[in-house]
Amino acid sequence: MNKDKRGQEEIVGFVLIVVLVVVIFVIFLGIRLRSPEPAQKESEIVYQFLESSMEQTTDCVLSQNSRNVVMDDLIKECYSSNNLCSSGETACGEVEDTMKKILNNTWKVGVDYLYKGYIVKANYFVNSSNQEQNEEVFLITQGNCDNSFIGNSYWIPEFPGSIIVDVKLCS
Amino acid sequence: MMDLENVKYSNSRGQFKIQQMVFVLIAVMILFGIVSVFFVSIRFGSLKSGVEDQRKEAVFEQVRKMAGTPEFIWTSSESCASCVDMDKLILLKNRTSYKGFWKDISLLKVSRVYPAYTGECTLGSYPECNSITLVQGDNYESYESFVSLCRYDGEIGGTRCEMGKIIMGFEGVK
Repeated sequence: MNKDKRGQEEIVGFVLIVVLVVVIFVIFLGIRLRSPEPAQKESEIVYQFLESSMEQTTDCVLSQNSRNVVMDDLIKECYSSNNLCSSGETACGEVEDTMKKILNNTWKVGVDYLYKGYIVKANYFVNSSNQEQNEEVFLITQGNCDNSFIGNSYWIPEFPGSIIVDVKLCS
Repeated sequence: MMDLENVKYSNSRGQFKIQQMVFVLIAVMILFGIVSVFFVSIRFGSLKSGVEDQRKEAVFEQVRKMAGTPEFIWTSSESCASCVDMDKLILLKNRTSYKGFWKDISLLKVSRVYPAYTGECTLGSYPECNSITLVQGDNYESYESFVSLCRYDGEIGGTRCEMGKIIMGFEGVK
């Protein structure tokens, strides 16, 4: 009787060890799977997109006998004075409109696509090294974005600080 | 006087206990081994995809370097490393002397992203067309890089640059 009881105790002990190890393993696995490290990658292709889109000639002509403004100059114009283009549209309106058209033609986003959404934002920083934010220039969002994305930034110098255009492509 | 029967019983019981402990230790070690293998395989999987991403990024960069070659580059006014001269390319497309110039490249094409047009460019349809194909082979894997497609536009009396891409295909790259 006593021998049986001791045997049972040993089996219970063994089962407890196994259960303990399994519980630790499940907790570890749960933590790993529930909060994955945000996959934020700097992307060359996004930088190429930004650099090329900044060279885009827009439909905005700011004054008579002047030429159509390129995107990076129009973004500066949007931040500094937001003057009207000859079409009657504001510089900021023209920037957003052109940028949206470029984005729509470049990346299809949605549940059925590789990219679920994007965030394009431009902010003016007085001191870009410590990212002291001064003012939002424009913001374009589409689709859903969580913490997994590829992205990059493009700097446009605008004395005394600079405008930083950020693109995040969410997957 | 020692009870020999009890001593024998005690020895075999001790051995049994040691065996039991060894089995438990082996079981725990196997369990940890399986967990480690699982963990390492996940780690190596992400490492492999990271290497693949970096390789692709390097190819994108190489493809974009094509925009800086004399046949492609826009040299009109401001320096722009990613600007391609569309006027040059439409003339280059019909040059027979450039046949076989780009060796080991199965596809070489520039395509407009915005504003969107359709169809291959000819001297008749240019500039209201979508793409200029300089090399068209088969059996290739293609890579794309964003560039600016620039040309002189009489309507605005100056340079017009538009968003586009260079598409290059390499044979046997898988």
